[in-house]
Amino acid sequence: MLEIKNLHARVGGREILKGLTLTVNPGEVHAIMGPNGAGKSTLSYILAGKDDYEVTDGEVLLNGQSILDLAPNERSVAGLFLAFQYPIEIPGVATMTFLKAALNAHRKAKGDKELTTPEFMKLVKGVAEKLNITSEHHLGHAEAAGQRRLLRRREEARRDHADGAVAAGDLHPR
Amino acid sequence: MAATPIQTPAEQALAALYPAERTSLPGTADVIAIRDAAFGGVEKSGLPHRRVEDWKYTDLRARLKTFPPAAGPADVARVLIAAPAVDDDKARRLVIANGRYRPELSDLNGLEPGLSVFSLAKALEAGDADVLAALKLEDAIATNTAVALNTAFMTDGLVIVVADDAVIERPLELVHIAEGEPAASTAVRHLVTVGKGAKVTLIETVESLDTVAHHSNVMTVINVGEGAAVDHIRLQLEPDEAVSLTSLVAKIGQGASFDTFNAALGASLARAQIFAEFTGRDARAGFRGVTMLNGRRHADTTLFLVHGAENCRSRELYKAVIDDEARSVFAGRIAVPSHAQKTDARMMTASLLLSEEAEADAKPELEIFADDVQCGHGATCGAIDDDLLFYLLSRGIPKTEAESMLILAFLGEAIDEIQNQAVHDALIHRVEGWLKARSA
Ligand SMILES: Nc1ncnc2c1ncn2[C@@H]1O[C@H](COP(=O)(O)OP(=O)(O)OP(=O)(O)O)[C@@H](O)[C@H]1O
Ligand SMILES: [Mg+2]
Repeated sequence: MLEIKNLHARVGGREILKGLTLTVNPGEVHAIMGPNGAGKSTLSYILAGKDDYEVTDGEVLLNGQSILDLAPNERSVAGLFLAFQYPIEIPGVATMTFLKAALNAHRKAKGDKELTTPEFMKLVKGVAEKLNITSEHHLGHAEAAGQRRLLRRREEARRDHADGAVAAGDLHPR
Repeated sequence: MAATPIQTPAEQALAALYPAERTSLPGTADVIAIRDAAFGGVEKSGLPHRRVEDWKYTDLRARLKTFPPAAGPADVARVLIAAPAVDDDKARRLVIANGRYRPELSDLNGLEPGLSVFSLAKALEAGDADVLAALKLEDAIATNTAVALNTAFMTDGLVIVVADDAVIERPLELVHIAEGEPAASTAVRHLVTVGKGAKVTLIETVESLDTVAHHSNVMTVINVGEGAAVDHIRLQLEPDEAVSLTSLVAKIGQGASFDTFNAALGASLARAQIFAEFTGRDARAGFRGVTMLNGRRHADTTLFLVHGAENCRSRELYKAVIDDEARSVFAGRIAVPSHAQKTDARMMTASLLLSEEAEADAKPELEIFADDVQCGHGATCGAIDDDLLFYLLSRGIPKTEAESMLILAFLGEAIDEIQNQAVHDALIHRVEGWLKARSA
């Protein structure tokens, strides 16, 4: 359960959120709508823990625990993360390296054993088959577009099966 | 009373050392004359300081606190058991310990036909005319302080000749090891001649078995013959206390292909100089490197490239990662004389600053006198991209690990150009070690 209580926040010295309260119960999907500049992205980034956003009042609880003092990666492994509609492409970081690091961070937080590279590749193959990403080059030495596609499928899969965790999914995080 | 210029302790040490060591250094009277001339130049001008343009960002006079005496013979047993910096069964290791070539520690079995390797010290003692001729360099190079000190103090090195059309399958790995305490100086000169159409890979590692303030001065002169292909990679892995001066002189012949990569991972003060020249048309060359700095360390990469012939292509890519209060310098000058039409050169340098106090100085210069050329340069300097970092964090990856991934990706663009897999992997391993130590 995610509880946002009387959230006030500033960015660049301007107050953007002025007392937002919202409770999201397990299994619920909420869409936050509003005109340009209303503060949708701001809310998403604050929930995810991006720097430069200053919370001036209120609190945010995830399953009863305050998350505002947690680093973005700690929030992520606690089950709250920002899904990007267009995953960022990180030049020079192989998709598999990135996915393995992310998966192992989550496994470590849960107390599970981290996967070795062969174990991880086996898992990826299985997931890729399920998602109908069969072509070799999407997995191994993928070109940028293929990598992005794979990332997007993975984001979508995560959103769909968020395992009871709450996904703060912003449709247009830009 | 005539005014004597004020000497720094390092200059005083040099002034005392050279007369004491000069007669015990290898070489005939001709060689001593060459040494005297080189040292005389240094003594006359003193160590270069920031008002000397080529040393503007690396004030050697201020930074060189001392100049230790020449290293004695190395303890062979320690050198023998030292873990190799590059794990490559294929490479032929040629060991230079404390400035002396040690054939008994080197792998000279079954030298490929067309490859000859011998000691510079022996050639100097014998007054070998070819070797003496190869010591002569144009003034601009000969008077450079690091080069002149190398000429004055060189104790040994390798004279490597690759015959025309010889393809040397096994990479030659020139292993420079300093061993022992207290800190000592070494000066090594290699002369490499690669014949027409020949092919060879030269790896250099520069390291020390003891964490003391060794001074090393390694100079490599390579003549790349017509249509030859030479791949040169240096890993400078000295302890954080050391002073490391390296100079590479490369003459690149017609239609030849030359690559050089320098990884500056160690030393408190490091300067890697490259003096390269296209001497024949239609040749290509790549100049690349990475620098990793922390603490108060200082590393300088200075490249002088003369695009001296028509239709030659070069790529320059230097990347630096700088933490704490460290400082990285890149100076790259490409000169294109008026006859060198169809020159294609692209020079890029990028620095990643990991702390507020870290500093990067970049000085790219193009001097173009030909009109039909494509020359460009770029320099960037910045911190880790917040958006990329946030993206990785938001996927659960801890900050230090995420930063390490981004730093490795930043350096990867240059490192991945290394063709030799063993050296590539050895370097990645070192970089990962550096990143781990940083996160600890
Ligand atoms: N870094 C910043 N510095 C100053 N103002 C900012 C900053 N980031 C956002 N803002 C302002 O905060 C307000 C809310 O922006 P936000 O991006 O959250 O809106 P949004 O609802 O996502 O809009 P859109 O529908 O256009 O995506 C806007 O007025 C914007 O100009
Ligand atoms: Mg928005």
